[in-house]
Amino acid sequence: MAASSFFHLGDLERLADTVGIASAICCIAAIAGLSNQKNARTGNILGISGVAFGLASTAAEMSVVGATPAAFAQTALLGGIGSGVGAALAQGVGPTELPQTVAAFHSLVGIAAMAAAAGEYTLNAGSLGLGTLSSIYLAVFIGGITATGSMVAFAKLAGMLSSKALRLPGRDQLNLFMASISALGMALFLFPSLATDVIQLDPEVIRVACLSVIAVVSSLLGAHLTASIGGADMPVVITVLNSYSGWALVAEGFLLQNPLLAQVGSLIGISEMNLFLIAVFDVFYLFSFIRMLFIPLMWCRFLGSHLDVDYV
Amino acid sequence: MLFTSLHLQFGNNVANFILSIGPQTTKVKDEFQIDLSDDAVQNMLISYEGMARWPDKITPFTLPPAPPQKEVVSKTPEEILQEKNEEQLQTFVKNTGFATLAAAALLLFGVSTDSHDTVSLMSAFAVAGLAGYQVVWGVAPALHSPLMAVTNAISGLTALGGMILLAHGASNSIIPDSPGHFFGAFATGLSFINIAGGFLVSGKMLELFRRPDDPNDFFGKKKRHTSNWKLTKLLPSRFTYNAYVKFYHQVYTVFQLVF
Repeated sequence: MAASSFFHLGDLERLADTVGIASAICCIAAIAGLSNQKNARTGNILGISGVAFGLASTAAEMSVVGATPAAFAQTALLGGIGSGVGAALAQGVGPTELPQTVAAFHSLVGIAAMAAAAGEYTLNAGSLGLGTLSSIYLAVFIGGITATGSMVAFAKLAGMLSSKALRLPGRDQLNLFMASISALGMALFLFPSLATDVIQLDPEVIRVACLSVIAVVSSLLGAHLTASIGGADMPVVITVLNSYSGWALVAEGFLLQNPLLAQVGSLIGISEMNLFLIAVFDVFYLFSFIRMLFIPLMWCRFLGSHLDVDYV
Repeated sequence: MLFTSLHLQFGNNVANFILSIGPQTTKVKDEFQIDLSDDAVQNMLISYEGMARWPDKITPFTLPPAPPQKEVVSKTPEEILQEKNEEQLQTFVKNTGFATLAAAALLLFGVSTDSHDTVSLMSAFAVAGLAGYQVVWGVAPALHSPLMAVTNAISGLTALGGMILLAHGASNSIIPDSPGHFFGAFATGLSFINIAGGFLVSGKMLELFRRPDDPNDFFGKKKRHTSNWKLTKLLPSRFTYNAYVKFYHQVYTVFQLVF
């Protein structure tokens, strides 16, 4: 790829897409490799190479869309600092603390998805199509749930929060209320004319307000959903949150018209949802593929009522 | 001396035991009576007035009544076939419903979409989803946690979004100068933390599964987690895991106060 950019070998854009395919294949192979003990560590290495290919492909794409040297410098700097911090955090972790560390790192993905979607909106405000707008909204919504949900999961696993399930009075109504606010916000975000007929405001102001409100509401929703579930079920919850971050990636992929993100996001979203189903299969084997679609609506109630063992 | 006192004590115990059988409930002094109204007494009697007896609350063992014989329902081959048909019908209805939903969603997507790129995105999405669905079935239950860790690290690909944001409309200053760039920088940094940390964590998890007789992998060191070189030694203490935990603790104290 470097040869291509420096010596004008072939077309950099097509090369970037090809490397993207390699990245997606590596990611699928990583999950496949983790299916047994023998290949598990190879799976990890494949995952690393998949992400590395993805980053390389994106670097090429950056140069295609006309990034200045300063943008590359920023990326390198942030990448270096971020990797250093991540490596330092991961080095100090003991064997028993590994699951909660995964949850803690996971909340970063949620925040990053929110930030990327919000950034895309602020860069191109006013010139976005309906599909892109809904992708932005969904990415912020799912990202918020993932971020705070993972934080609460981390706090419960690390013993900072009581591992007992939080039972607020009227928690179902609360969830329903927050979900309906989200739906209302989406309608307003896509069609601000609904509100501008009533209040004299700039449509973009309404969109920004909707986006801020949904960021807060989805964060509260994620925290409340996870807090309503006992500490012993947290590994299962992390699976679901992982799956959500996959859907956030899909939204981001549709937003940026990036096939790699859509592929990897879909891979993570469906495989983790399936893993969740397999994990609860011995409790509930009545699941079918259709119910899988409705899991996002029912997982909280389901876990809250059926897996509730005695949390000590 | 010792034997004398032992005998005295044992005799004392026996005498007390016999006296305790005496009238405890009637409270009449100076007579021995086997007090059947005392639960403790009547439970330890095995014979009374020359007859073997059972304590009142224990009934002698008798064989339990034989369980009622289940009625063996003999099904004709037609009935069995009919049951199977009903099951098949339910599965069929479910699957058809799912297929209809999926087809309707796809049609909706096809009607509302405006560019061909989005359609090819959708195909990539669908195929990758099927791959994910298939791939997970073979995973050994013990490997669920490492799988979660690896997928978490892969989802650090959110960095892609941040990087593309940084590239769009880029200026020559290295410090982000517009809200979009700030968001992009934020997303990139956080995602890179997740990528590096996530893969290290999953590597550590997988090292825990390693058996001493496993062959060498030929990538990287054989035992990574016993390495003496630690990045934590190079960084100030406020970047360590414990500091991270403390920070989260503070955040959650605030969180609990707010609720």
